[in-house]
Amino acid sequence: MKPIFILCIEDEPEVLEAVVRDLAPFEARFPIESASSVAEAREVVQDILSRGRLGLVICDHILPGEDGVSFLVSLHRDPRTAGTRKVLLTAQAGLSDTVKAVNQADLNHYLAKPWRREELHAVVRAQLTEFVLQHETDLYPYLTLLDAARLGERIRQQPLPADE
Amino acid sequence: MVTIPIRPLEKIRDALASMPETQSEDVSFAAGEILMREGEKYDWIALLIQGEIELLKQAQDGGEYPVGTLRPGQFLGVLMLSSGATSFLTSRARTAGRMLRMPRDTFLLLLYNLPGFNQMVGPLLLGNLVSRYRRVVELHVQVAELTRDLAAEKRQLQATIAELEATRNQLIQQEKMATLGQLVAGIAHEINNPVASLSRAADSIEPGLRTWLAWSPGPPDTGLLARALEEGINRQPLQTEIQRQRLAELAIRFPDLPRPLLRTLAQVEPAVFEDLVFYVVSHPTVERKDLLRRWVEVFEVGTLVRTIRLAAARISGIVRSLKGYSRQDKALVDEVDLREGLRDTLVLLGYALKKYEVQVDLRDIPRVRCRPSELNQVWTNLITNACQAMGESGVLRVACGPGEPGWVWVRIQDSGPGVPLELREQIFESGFSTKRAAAPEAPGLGLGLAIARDIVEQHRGRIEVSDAPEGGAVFTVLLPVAGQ
Repeated sequence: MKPIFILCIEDEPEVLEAVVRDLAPFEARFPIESASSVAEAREVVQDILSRGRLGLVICDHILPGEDGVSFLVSLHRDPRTAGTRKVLLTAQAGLSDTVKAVNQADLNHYLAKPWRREELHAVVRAQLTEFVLQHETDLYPYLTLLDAARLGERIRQQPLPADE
Repeated sequence: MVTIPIRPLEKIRDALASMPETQSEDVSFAAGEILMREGEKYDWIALLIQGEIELLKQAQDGGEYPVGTLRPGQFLGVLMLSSGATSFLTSRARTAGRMLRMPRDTFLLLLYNLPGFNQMVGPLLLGNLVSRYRRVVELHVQVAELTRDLAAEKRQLQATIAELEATRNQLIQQEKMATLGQLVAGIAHEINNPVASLSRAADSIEPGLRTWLAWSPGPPDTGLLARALEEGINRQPLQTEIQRQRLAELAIRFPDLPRPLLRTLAQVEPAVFEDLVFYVVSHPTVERKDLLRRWVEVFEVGTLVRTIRLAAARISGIVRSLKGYSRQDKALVDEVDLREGLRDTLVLLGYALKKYEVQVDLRDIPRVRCRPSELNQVWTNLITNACQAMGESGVLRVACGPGEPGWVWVRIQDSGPGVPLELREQIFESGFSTKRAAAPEAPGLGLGLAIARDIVEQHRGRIEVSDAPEGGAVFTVLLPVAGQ
């Protein structure tokens, strides 16, 4: 089974480190990759797609060079990453940027800096649960890490192996 | 030259009065009496013998305006003489007086048929008309003069309004800066206290941890853990690319270790890491494996201490820039190094500048007498404008240097489309903005460059715009060192 990756993009090393550190519990099942610019993130996405799938992107808004919103828009337009869950992590954003992200990139969540650890966990758990529900058939491996109630509900609706 | 003899008025009066066919009557009037009213019909004409009569014309606005004065020897009702139309003017006696009044029909009849009458009255009538025509010409000239004066006054008023507007903008700006200054002083005070305790705590936690490490494990391992702390505190963050590469290598080398642990190990200096690996692998007891885990934990604590220190330093740096930018002593003239203000401005605009490549070349310049916070406003406006001109990406160059003796220059250059020649004057006028068309949801007020120019001119400096050789606009501010 191809692994489902989480990609974090943030240009300030200390902040990037903090996001990755906070997400460590998820890494038991979802390997985390990171990048500090959109150009680098594009390469990492190619690399991830050669080895697995991209489940979730957590992206800073203002980055050197190309900004986070335009990266999310381009991910959404690529059929291989259209289903990737997208979270914008930002210290400041105008309404128009946010509207663009929601409308054109199908942004799934918007997180303001500074974030709280539990808040980030809840968002990531919900988004990964959504991704897994849409793309996976075997849901048992995710029960401990993700939203067990939602996964369990789906599992109950699935036919038992004996029924086939 | 032929002159028409005019007989003395009294003689004419007596002659006319003695001719019964003229049907004339001597009428006296009082001051203020209306003798003819504009728009009404009169069937008589009168020769003024004594007193003065004012002629008035009603204008479209309803007011009555004087257009001339009748004096003895002039006729009242002469304009109706041939046409028999309604009165063109209102006639009001200015003083008491007398006039010789005759029926109009009789007057005309005698004028055409009685040579003696014609000889007496003809030259009078002609003189009357000539003097009225003179009056018309005079009035034309007066109107032209008034129009000219009015135009001059209008121009002066426009200039005054522009001046007032500039002053108002500047007052608004000063007021804003004063408010900002007060806010910042308050915020700086509130933030500096927690930041001070934050950085003091980060400093003190290091010896505390060392002591704690010296106590807990057995003597041979102490050195290793103390080193882990030091490594963590002194470690420079790796570029994400290199970090990813090392993480991939470690994952192959130690497939059993969890990724978060490997990610931390990837941060460790390779030489230090190999020592550690040698220590554990050369004699892989349970204790040593445990030690590896503890080593990573302590290393991480070290990186956290470093992050806290760094963050505290950054916050105090930003607070310092904010204070420098908005200078509470803003109204005061001070001798300053302009580079401080330029740096503070760049720090505070940092978030907006991330998209661009920023090249800063601040050479040594003499200190300038100026109002520092006002000049910061100039830098801010010029830099913000440059960013807006560049859009999503570009190169911003900020430079300063010594100019001709007694002058310094500051240059803000962008790689945008540049300023068309025909707009170079206009862009400095208040109310001129290109942002309205470009970004209708967030229109500019068109005050940025106007304010910048006002401030620079108050410092007896100049602001100029030109094209950069490599494309884009260059705004150059020239300031005299003596300043204000």
